[in-house]
Amino acid sequence: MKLWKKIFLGTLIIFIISFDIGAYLLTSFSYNYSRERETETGIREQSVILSSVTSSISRAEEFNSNFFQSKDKLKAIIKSLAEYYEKQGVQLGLMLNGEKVYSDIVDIDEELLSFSDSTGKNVMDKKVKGKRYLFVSSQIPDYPELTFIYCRDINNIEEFRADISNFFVVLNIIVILLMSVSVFVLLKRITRPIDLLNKVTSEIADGSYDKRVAIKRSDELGELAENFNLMADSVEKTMVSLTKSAKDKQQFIDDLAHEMKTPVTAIAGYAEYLKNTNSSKENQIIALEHLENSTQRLQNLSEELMKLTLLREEKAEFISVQVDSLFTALKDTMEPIFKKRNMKLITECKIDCINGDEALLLSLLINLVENAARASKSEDKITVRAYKNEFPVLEVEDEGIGMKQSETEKITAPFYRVDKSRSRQFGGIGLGLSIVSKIADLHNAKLEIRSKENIGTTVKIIFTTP
Amino acid sequence: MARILIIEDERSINDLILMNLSLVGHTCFQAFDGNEAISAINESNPDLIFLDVMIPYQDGFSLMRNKVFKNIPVIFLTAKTSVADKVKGLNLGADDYITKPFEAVELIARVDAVLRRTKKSVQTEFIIGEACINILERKARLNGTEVDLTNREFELLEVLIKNRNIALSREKLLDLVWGYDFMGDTRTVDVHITKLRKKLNLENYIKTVYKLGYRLEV
Repeated sequence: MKLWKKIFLGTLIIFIISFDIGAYLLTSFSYNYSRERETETGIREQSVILSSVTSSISRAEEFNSNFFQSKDKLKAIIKSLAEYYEKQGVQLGLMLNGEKVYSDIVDIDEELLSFSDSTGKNVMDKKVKGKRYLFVSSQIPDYPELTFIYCRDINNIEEFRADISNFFVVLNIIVILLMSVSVFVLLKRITRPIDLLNKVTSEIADGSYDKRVAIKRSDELGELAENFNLMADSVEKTMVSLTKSAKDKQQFIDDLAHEMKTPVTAIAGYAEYLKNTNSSKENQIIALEHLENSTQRLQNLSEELMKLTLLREEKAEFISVQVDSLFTALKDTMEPIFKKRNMKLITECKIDCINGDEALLLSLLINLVENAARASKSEDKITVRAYKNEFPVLEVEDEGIGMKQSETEKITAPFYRVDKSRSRQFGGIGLGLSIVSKIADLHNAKLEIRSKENIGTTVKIIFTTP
Repeated sequence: MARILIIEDERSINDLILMNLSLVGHTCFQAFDGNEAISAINESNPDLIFLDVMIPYQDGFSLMRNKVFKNIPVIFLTAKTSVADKVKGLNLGADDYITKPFEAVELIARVDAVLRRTKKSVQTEFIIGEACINILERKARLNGTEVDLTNREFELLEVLIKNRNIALSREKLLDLVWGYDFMGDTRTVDVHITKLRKKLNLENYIKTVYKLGYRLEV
């Protein structure tokens, strides 16, 4: 059962029960109260009538001591009184030794006629023919053989009770209707955000991570919605980054497989060729050279991959690195290539030290200079600079073929090449800038690439710590 | 034999295709990028083009889209195994494709198949020593007299001719001639080779290659 239905029914049932109990108690209290009042009035009135009956009888007896012989006389006394009181809804009766002298009372109960002592009064009320009457009887003082009975119609209290009951029934219905409508509206107002949360939760569970709840409230539900949205934000963020990293990894594997296809095809092909054909010495040498180169390419690939893997696990310990000794090492490494291609490597050092890992920084510079060399022609010059703006900067500038500025965003992706045939000619395998950007990350440095086609490329490593 | 232009930027792969196709007698030309390809087509007037999709300056698909190849049949080379790539190539009018890595036998068979479909005159008659074999008529003559060959013997001879100068192992020959589901032993191949040599006087042409199998040398 839904929460709002539970609360709705529960509230309604509790309310109806307490309302009805209250109504019942109120009705019966007022009924009993008015019945007591009626009884008191009855007793008082009976006493008044009784005293007038008594005085009439004693007066009559003064005239005639045989008065009791004549029932008619007694009857005459009581009858005149009875006719007088009848208009006020009172009925009177007189009994002589248990026999009726006069009575217009509807029904005389035996209990009214027996007295424990001569001054006592019997009081009772009962229903006769659907109407309630109050009966009060007593012996007439000095004449114990005479019993005077007073009866009064008190049906008005019954009517009053019936009226008040009807009133409460009607009131009950009206209040329940009002209550149902208002409780329903109130509950709907309270549970609507819960339903909304529920809906959005299941949508998110189904994979729509961008869904949010729009609940603006200052109560606990508003807080819940706000926190829910915060949670959804962080779930979405995590999902996006997980998806991206999975995608990047898949892309890397695809690219790697693709990268390996060519050397593997060549190796398998030339091995097959050498095995199955009776080829000329010249063709054999071509085949063997290709075998050698392809094997070298696979070896380079595996080495670079290894570097990338090691970098990923690296916890670099930074020390103060002398920049000029770094540049000297760079020149030593690059010299053979530069000599062979008749290019110039110029270094400009304006700072003493950089905080970092010496081996990694050297590897970074070598990669950048190699890339620059690949993009340059013979006799071009490549400049490596170290200087300080706000923080230290390492810069490699070439006068080579350059690239479109739009390409500079993509070139740090593994295996991405602006011009694949040219890069391969010099043994590049497409991981150099991936390694550079990884090393820069480790040093909390930014990689900035500026390039113009046919003018040259400048790569800056901008450190973010002094 | 056919004139074939190989457009592939990887020198090693380009040379490999050239060397394999030269073995069976095709004349090959090389181009290493999209721009070279365009001029090479006009110069070499090829019967068939091998095209790598990923080449510098103008990629293979855009060359096809620009109708650079006119009506010359194209077999494209792809390193990608994705179906979408193959379908794209075929839709652009390529006749067949081949994925890296590939075997020489497959390369030659695809070239033969495309040439058979597209070229009006394909070499059907081969003269080897004193024997003359017509593949279309399925007839073999020795010094002018017809020699009776069984179906299997003729198919074996045909495979050897098509892959001439390439050593084929007994297992490969079983696969190519008898089919994969043939349950026989590799000695079946030896028996048939012996019969062929004898019937057509090919002892000096069908060579036994140590540890490998047989090679028809012409």
